[in-house]
Amino acid sequence: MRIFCLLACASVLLLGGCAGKGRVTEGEQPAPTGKGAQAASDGKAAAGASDDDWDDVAEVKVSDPIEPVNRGVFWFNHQLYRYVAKPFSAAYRFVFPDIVRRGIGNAYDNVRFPVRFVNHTLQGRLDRTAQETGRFVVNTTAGVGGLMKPADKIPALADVPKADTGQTFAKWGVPHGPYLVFPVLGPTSCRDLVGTAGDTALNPVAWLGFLFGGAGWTTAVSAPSGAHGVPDQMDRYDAATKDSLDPYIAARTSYIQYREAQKKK
Amino acid sequence: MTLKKMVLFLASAAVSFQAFAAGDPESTLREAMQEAVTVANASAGGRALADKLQPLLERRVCFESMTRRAIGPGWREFSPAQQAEATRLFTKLIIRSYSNKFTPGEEPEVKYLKGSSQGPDKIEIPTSMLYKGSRYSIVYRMENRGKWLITDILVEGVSLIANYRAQFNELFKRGGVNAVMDSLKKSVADT
Repeated sequence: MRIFCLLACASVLLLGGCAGKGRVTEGEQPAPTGKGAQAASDGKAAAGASDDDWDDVAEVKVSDPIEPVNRGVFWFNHQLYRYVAKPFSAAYRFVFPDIVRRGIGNAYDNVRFPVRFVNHTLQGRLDRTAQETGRFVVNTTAGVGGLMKPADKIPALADVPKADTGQTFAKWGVPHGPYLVFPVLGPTSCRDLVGTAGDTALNPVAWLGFLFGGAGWTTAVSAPSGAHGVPDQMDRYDAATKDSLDPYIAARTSYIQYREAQKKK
Repeated sequence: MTLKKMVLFLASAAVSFQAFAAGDPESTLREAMQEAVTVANASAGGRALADKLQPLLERRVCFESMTRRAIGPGWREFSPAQQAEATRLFTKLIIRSYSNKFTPGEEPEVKYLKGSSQGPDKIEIPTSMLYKGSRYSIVYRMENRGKWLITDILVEGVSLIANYRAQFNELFKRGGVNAVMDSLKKSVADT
């Protein structure tokens, strides 16, 4: 009997093209769910069990208790993006050439160094803390105040994953909590909302407000940063929602997956 | 050699032959990318590019599996004709969406990183792509189905299939097969 099984397996392997459909194999994908997962864990999955191979896709779980409210805010943001942010983004791109926009972006990113420094340290990644420090020193000096990123050319300092406070909470095991959509700012979760507050406290641009005794300073310095970020935010929003069947769910799923991927870095 | 040993030998030889015939997934991916970029650069973009890319991508991507996995367990309730139509529409949607990402003349700079095996016939190949001044982390999931085919793409950790699955699930809960089919038809018409 086993001989026939072996032969059957060999022929399936040889003949199994795309139309031959897939197989379910134990432990192939993260967090498989449902019937196929059960079959795999029971060791009953068989070659050609095509009906179950949708379990190869990990479903994205998210708590969204105020979905109707979130959908309302999402709709408002969508109109805002369409009628205000997109024209602004096009004008901004027209006025500032790519190289200038990239320089401004680099400089603001460089200033956010304490956010990454503190969070890499809190995550116990002292190697990355050291790399970030090296990047900051190189980019601030050789990169003329961070306008350029010469550290990217140094293999030991290139490709250091970004760190933020929400990510630190995630690595500590804090769950997302309910999903939220804020007017203008867009999607977040309870965990990431607290994380954003932490990032703001660690951002030197926000310190200006404390030092000079007024939110005006912070606004004046951070406004160009916000304006600069709009075209990129529009690109991200388009990537997540364009060609979707339900833009709200597409944006929500993209957000949760994106943050999960950052947690694993 | 006993009959059992002979069959084991033949089976393992068949597996090796299949692995050989399927080629190397990274080379397959490189070829697919190069073909797509060459076609994109010779085209004015938009719908015409999507039409040109379709036969090429259908050789490299397993759209049938993508559609089935994106729709999920509700797939069982589709008739064979509805499954074929859903696959045709989803393929069109994905190819048009992919085509719109190209700007003719722009050459992506792709760095292929070490692939990680996800099982005997499955692999994830991470890449780092520099395109129009921005760097993206893109992971290609591939499966050996006689030849290596792309079965999912993750951009910055966001899986194309998982993203559509969440949307199809909601549609299926609300209106079953008809809701899924209507939404697919509408999206393809709007793209």
